[in-house]
Amino acid sequence: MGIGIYSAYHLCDKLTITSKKENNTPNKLTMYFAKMKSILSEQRALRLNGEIDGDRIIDLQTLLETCVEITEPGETPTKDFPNTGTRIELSGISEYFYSEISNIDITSRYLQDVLPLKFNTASFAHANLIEEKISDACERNSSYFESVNVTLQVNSQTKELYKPYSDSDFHNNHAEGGPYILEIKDDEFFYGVAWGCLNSERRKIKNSDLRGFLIRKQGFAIGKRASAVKHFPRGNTFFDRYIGEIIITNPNLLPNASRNDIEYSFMRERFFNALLTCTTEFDGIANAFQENCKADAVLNDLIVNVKEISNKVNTRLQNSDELLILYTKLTSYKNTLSDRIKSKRIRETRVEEAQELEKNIISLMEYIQERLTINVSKKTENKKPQKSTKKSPDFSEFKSEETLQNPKYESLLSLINDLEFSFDEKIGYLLEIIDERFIQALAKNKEEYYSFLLNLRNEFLNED
Amino acid sequence: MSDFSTPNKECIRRYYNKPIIRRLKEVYNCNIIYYGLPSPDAEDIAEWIEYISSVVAFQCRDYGNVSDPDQPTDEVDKLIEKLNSWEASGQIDNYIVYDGYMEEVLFKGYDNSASGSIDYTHDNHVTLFNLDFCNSITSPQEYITKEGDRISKYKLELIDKILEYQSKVSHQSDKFVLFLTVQASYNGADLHDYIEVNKKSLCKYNSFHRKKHFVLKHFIEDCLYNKIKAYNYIPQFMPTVFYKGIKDVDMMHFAVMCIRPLDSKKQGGIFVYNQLINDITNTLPLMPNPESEADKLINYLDIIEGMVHPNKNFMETFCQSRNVNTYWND
Repeated sequence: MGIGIYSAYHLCDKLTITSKKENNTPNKLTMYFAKMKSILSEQRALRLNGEIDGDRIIDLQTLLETCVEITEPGETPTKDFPNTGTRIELSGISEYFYSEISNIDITSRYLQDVLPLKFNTASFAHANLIEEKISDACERNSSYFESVNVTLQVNSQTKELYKPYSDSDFHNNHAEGGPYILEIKDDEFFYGVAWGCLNSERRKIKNSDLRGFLIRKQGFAIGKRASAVKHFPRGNTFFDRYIGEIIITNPNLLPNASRNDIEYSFMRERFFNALLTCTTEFDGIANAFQENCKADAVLNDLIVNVKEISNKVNTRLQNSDELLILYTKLTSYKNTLSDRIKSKRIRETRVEEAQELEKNIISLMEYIQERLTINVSKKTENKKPQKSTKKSPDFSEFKSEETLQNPKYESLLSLINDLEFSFDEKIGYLLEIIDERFIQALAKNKEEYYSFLLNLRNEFLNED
Repeated sequence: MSDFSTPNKECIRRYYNKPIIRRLKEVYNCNIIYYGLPSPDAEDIAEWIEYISSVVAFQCRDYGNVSDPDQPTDEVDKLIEKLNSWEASGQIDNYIVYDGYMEEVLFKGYDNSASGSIDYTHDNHVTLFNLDFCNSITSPQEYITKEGDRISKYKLELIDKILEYQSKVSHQSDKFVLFLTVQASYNGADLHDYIEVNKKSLCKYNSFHRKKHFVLKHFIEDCLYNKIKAYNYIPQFMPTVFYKGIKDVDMMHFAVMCIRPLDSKKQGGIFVYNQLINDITNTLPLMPNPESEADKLINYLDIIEGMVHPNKNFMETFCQSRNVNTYWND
């Protein structure tokens, strides 16, 4: 792969690259772009005026020989560049690019996307694990992967550059489980590694610039994140909940000239097929997480509701009608729970808890049934009230696990903003009218309005 | 030796400035950020480079003339090349060179770089100011604004501006040293006004040989003392140095160690300035003596009534001063 030195032609007057390997003397390459531009512009003027014929126009080799200097081995003394590494200097930046390039934030954001940087271990908890696992996978498959330390200096400002990921990009400041690291390979070839960290809520990653997966050849970016979504069977649904990278290490897969796709080759299609296996798995992981979250919510709701019924039954209720209503409710809860247990739509770690709850609901139903029978017999035979032989089950051991706190939306617009839909002013105005005329009008009070919005959100996310 | 250096100047850099910088770096663990006017050969930075981590330099294109985009940038390029080589060799961490006079860059807020002006920023607490002016403290520097107006700024206004920027980024217990070099030239409205107002306290110099030099010394020390105090730093003046510069022009070199004190050091709700202005102005200057092997700094040759010679081992005096005991030794 080229190092893109000619990209600097338009940017600056002079590019200097000094590089030194351990125990070697430094080497220095200097490209005088201003001189190149001046020669070419002079010749163009002569050509336009018919003062020079085609044969006398400077050829590329002569131009490069005139304007590029490469030091001989040992020519640059080590004391001039004692550290191991590479230093790239752009001097005489063109005024057209100066304001952007001299802005360290803009330049570092660009470099973070295109360079094979290391992770920032201070701000991203999974940094070391991901790097280790990528290295392991590459080593196992005799593939080569390397990341580099980069220091960016713009005028007097200096910054160590790392990959842009941090824990704060995820909701609740952490990713869900993971990181998930998958090898991209088929029967014959190893193409690279894909890693992804899933958001800890069923929502898109907070930082929209980092949503999804970025394809990289080694560390160099190919295209933008959004362009990788086509490889994910479920599209943006789960893609946007991940931060990740697809790192190609296979030397036969090359980026095209504009670095926005893979160059056509015999391996390209095979790679995309192998990638599909990984992306399907990433979708599967996110889907399982979503199902588990939903299951947790259902189980938690059941625990709360059943406890409430149990309290009522134990404290004051003797009325058969009311008992009957509670019995019906319990029947419905029991059916929901049994269905989920049977179809294994309960988080694995909570299956036992669900089964225990199911048993207790049945016990409570039996208890209510017996109370009902007593009530009936009391009425018909007018006997002394009998004592129940059954005990009401104890639900104190069941705790509805703390589910992620529900947000409180002040308006329909704030809900829609939170769901990360973009809309223009006119649609915003329309939504405000809908909010005022219909949703707010329907709610009896503020609390009910909030709960309407929350239900709307949950319904949408569960559909998702 | 370049156009900007003389044996006297080298002697001051090595035997007067260097021990101060060393102390800041080694005893007080200050990260030395150089800020000043180094000249294209940057001889001062070269002398102190073992202590310096970054450089903020100002370099005009054609000294003595108002900046103009058509002036050649050779002097600026030379300085950049020098600093770049030090950066590449790892001797300094980073640098920035502002193209223009310090006055114009600070007051305009940007420099004259050809490709696109560099905006002036003062984000870090500077630890070493080297304001090495070739002309007098009362000489104004002219520059032309974006709108085409011709503006003049004086050195004292510049020092005020620098301290204003510095005070915004300083935290408690931050330290710095300010070196100021000016020609011992006597003209200027500010100075004449000052003499008029302070006739009484300055009349003691009337009988002095080189009376004007001492009046100027008094004026500069008094101005620096008050300006530094105004920005909530405690100044500790080192002995002033008189010397002959290029073409035997009389020069003066001042050095002030400053600290932003900890609030806990207040006595009765205020900071006590242990070094009084009279102690400073009544101290005779030192002089460089490059020819001597043993005594690189010597006392002023005259004995003057009412004024005292400083300890040639000025770092010892500094360490034993009440200001240092109160504010510097934490």
